[in-house]
Amino acid sequence: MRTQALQKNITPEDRVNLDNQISSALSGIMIAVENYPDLKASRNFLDLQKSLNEVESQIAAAGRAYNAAVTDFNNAIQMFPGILFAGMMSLKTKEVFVASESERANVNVKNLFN
Amino acid sequence: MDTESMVSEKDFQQLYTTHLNDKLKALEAIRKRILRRYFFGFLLLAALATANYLLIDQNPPEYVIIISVLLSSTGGLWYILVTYGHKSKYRKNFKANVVAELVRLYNPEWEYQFDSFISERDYLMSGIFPHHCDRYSGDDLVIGKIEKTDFQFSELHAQYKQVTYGSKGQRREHWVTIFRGLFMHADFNKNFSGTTYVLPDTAERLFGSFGKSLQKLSSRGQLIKLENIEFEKRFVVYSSDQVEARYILTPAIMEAMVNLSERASGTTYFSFVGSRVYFARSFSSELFEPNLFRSGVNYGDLKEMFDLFGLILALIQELNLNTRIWTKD
Repeated sequence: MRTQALQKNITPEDRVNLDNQISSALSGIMIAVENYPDLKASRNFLDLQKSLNEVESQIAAAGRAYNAAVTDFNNAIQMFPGILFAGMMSLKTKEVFVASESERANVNVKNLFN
Repeated sequence: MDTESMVSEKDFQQLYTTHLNDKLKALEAIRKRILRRYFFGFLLLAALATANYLLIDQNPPEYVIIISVLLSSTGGLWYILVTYGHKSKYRKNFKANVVAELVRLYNPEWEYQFDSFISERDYLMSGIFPHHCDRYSGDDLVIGKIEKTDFQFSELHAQYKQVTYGSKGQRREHWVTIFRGLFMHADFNKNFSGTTYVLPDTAERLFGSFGKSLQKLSSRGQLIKLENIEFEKRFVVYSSDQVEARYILTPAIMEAMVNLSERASGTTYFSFVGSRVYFARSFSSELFEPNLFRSGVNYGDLKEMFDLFGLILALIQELNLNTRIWTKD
């Protein structure tokens, strides 16, 4: 999954799907970790959790920023005078990013540990 | 909310009845004496003025007038100074005994220095009031720590001098208040590298959507439009980075800020600089000062002061500054 995500030429929709897959895999791992109390208490794991929280927050923030930009963009191309340029430059309304919980497929965690 | 660090009204009532009441009663005698001095001083000055006036009426030689006026004005001044000395001693006593106890009720480890205030450097670092100060003062400094969050809190009064020239060219000096009220800064629970300002949204309130377009031009950074409607009605946000601003201002934090701004009267300002949060709330008068003309043994007055110190707790608890689940300890 990581190599796919790091490629530069993926479309926004693919990127969103990939991000959802990664997050669901991560949550699967975190649930599996509940069975290992020593691991949960380990310093390294706690630092890892902090990093994950940080990354999640940053992604959420970036998502909100993206949505704000997209909303502005969509409004701009639908009002005067942007609507004139939109036709010329063939700009279409973009979709707002939604981290939909329901779309996250249940990743089989056992497979990850094989 | 952490109920351990929450000090209830009941605790305050208990403190009031056991400790403060006695101390205040002791101060009462001093206060009444000062009031008497005030009254007597006023009479004295009036008497001196009348005496001088009558003397001048008699047309004595000039040097008599001069000596008399000099003596009475020196006497008057000396009396005023001594009374002022008494008043500041009373104030010092009040602060050291009564206000200090209020702070101690919240946490005995917090430091209270009634004559100190947050440094000008920290005040300017917040970037909330960038205007250069010609006069900067304050008092009632509280320094402490709640779990992992350290903070500083004080009253501040920042002013600048405005020089105007009248029609005839007379130079007039006028002091303009930049900020007067409570100022506080604390360790924020996330690391960030830019600057974000959350300021009262005056333009939108006055001018509506036109005001919003005016707000786009600012040296403070980019205008950030956020999702919380109540928040947007009260505040305007500028930041050096769109993503970082949203990283700091999560939906929960925005709600907390709306709650904090509702807590009391006065305008609320926030800023986030150097991984610290700065908070300012303007007040029109001096706070934590003993009222000479009213009995010091006043439950209402003291409760008001007690609640103001509660703002420290409110800020740290509402913003969840002790939740350290990100990479900052």
